[in-house]
Amino acid sequence: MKEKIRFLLYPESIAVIGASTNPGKWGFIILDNILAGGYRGKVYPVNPNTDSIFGMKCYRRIQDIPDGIHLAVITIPREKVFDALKDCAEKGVKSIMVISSGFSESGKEYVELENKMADFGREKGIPIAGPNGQGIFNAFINLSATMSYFHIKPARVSLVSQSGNMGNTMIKWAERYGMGFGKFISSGNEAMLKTEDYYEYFEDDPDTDVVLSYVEGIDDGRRFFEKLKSLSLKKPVIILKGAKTAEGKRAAESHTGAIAGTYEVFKSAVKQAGGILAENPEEMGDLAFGFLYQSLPKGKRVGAISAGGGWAVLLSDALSQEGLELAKFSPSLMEELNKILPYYWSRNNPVDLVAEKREGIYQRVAELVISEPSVDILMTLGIGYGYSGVFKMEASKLIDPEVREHIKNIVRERGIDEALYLLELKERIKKPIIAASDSMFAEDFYRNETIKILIENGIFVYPTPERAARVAAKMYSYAEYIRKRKG
Amino acid sequence: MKTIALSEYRSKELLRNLGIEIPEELFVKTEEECLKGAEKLGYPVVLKGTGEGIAHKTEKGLVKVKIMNENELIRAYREIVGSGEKIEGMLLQRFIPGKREFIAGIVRDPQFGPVIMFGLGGIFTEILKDVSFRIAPIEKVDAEEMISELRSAKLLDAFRGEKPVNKEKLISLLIRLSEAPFKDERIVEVDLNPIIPWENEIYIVDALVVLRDEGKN
Repeated sequence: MKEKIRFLLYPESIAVIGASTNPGKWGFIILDNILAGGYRGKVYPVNPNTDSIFGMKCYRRIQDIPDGIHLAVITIPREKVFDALKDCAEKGVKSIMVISSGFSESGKEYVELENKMADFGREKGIPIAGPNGQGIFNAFINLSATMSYFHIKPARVSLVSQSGNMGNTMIKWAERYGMGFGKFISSGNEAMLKTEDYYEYFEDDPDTDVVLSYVEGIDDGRRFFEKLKSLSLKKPVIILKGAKTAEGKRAAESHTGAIAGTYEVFKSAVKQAGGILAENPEEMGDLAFGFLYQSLPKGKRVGAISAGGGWAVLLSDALSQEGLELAKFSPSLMEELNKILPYYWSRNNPVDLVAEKREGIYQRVAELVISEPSVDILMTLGIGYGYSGVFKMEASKLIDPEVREHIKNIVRERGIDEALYLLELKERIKKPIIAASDSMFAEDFYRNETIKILIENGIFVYPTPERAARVAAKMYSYAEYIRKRKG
Repeated sequence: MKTIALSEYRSKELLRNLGIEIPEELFVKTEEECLKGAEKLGYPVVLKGTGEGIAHKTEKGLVKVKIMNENELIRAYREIVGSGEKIEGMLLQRFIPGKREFIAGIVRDPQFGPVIMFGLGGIFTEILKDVSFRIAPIEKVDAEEMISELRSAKLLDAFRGEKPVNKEKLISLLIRLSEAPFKDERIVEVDLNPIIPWENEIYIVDALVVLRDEGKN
C-alpha cells in the first residue's frame, strides 16, 4: 500500500466525482481550487447530469474518461459513494480520496459502511483516504485539492491530519512566517488508510524531512506505535493530540490502573517511539521550522547573545525549566571576548551587547561563541532590534531628515550584514542557531529586513525567549533519543 | 470483562514463576507457626493478613510493620484476627527498613495493550502521580528513560544515610515486569507497591495481580 499512496499525493491526473457549478458544494470547491492552485496535471469533472462544466468537458461516468486516472476525489452524498467506488475500481483508478461525510462521525450505524469501504479498497488494492476528509495539498506539484488553495514555496514538511482545518491552520502559519510547506493529507475518518499508513509513506519520501501529525484517535495503538518508532529513527515527527481530556475513567483494582489516563499513556507511547509532542498549532509551527532548517544539537549547552538584560534573564529561566543549560565559557573564549568588548561588559553567558554600537562586533562575538567547544546551541536574542527602532524615527520632530536617512541606512545595512553572517555561520558550523526577538510582535515585522532575511532563509525568529528555549529543548531531546538508539 | 484479584501470597507466587525476584516470606495459619517463623526470619518482621479479593490491606488494619519481638508479634497477630476481615492466613516477612518507596505496575490500555508504569510509591502515589509509563515490553534504554523522567528521580541517589538505589537491579526488574503480561496472557493488572530499596537490593514488599477470570474455578 505504501507505494500506492504516492498516487494520492503525486497524481498526474485527477477526476472530481460530483463536480458542480454550485459554489457552495464540495464538488465546486475542490475543482475550483485545483485549478486556482495552478495544478499542471489533467483534471476531469465527473457528473451524471451534464456534459459540460464551465466550458470543460464533463463525463457522465468515470469509466467514460479516455485516459488513466491516478486520483479520484469523491464529493457526492453518502448513499452514492459505494457505487462510485465500484466505478473507480472498474475504471482502474489508482487512488481515491473520499470527501463525502455522514459516516462514522454521524453515528455508530454507519461504522459498518466504513468497514465495507475499507474491505473494498483492500480487496481491489486501491488506497482510499477518508471518508470525511478535506482533501490533499501538495506544493511540489501545485495541487490544492482542498478547501482553499495556496501558493506557497515548497518545503520538505508533510502533514497528515485527522482534522481538515488543522491542515489549513498549519499552511497559513507556514505562509505567514515564510517557512514553506510540502504536503498535507486530510485523513478524515481513516476507514482504510490510517495515520500510520501515511507515516510509512513519509519514511521513504524524498520530499519529506519533517512530519507533522494531528491525531484525535487511533484504532490500533500497537501498529501506530511501531510505525511511529520506525519513522522517528529517520525523520522527526511532531505530533499534536486533540481530544486529550476525553478520557474514560478506567475501572481498575490497582493503583497502576487508576493512574493510567488515556492521554498519559498516549504521551508515553509517543515519547517512547521518538515522537515530539506539540501542545498547540503555534508550537507545532515553531518546532517544524526549527527541525526543518536547523542541524540537531549535539548537547544541551547554550551560548547566548542578548540585547538587553531582561531577556537574558528570562532566557536563563526558560532554559533551566526546559532542561537545557547555559554553557560555561572557557578561559580562552573569555580572553577573546575581553579583547573586543568594552571593559564593562557582563563577563558572562549570555553576552549582553545592548550597549555595543560598533560595526562588526556582533558578527565577531557570534563567531566566537558558536565556535566554542562547550557550546552546542547558539541563541541570539533581540536580533533586528536596532532596525525596528529606526521606524520610530520617522515621526521624530527633532532629527534632521538628512541625518535620519543616514542613520537609517547604517542601521539597516548593519542589520542585513548580521543576518547574512548568521546564515553563513549556520551553514559553516553545524550547530543550531535559535533566534528570538520582540520585533516579531510588530504587525509589519516583514518591513524589518534583518528578520525577513533570517526567516526566509531558515532561521526562524521566535517572539519570546520561552518559545525559542522550548524548540531548542525539543530538538535536543530528539537528538538524544536518536543518539541513544543509533549511537 | 470479569477479573479476579489474587491474594498477596498468590500474586507473589505467580510473579516469582515469571522470573521476578521477591523476598522469601512465610504463610502462617496459627500463632505458633507465626512465632516459629519469626525466629527463622529474624526480627524485625512484618505481619499481614491475606485473602482472596482483599485489596488495600493497610487501610483495613491488616498490615503490622516493624515488629521487634515476640510480645509485639503476638499482639499484632491477635489484632489482625480481630479485624473482622475474611483472611485465609497471614504472611510473615522480614521488615525492610528503607525509607523510600516506589511503585511499578502493569495495566492493559484499550489502545496500546500492556503498559508498564514506574513511579513514586507509598501512600501519596495517587495524589502526586509522579509516575512514567511505557508500552510493554520495554528495552533497557526505555527503562532508563522512564526512571530518569520522574520529578523525584533524585530520590534514587543517596538519600538520608541510605545508599543510592541499585539502578541495574531496578532496570532488570522493570524489564521483567514488562514481559509478564506476554508470558501470562491472563494478567490484566499488576501492582508492585511498595518496592523498597535497601543497601544493594530492591525489595518487592507487596504485590497485587489481577487476572482475567476465566470462570474455571
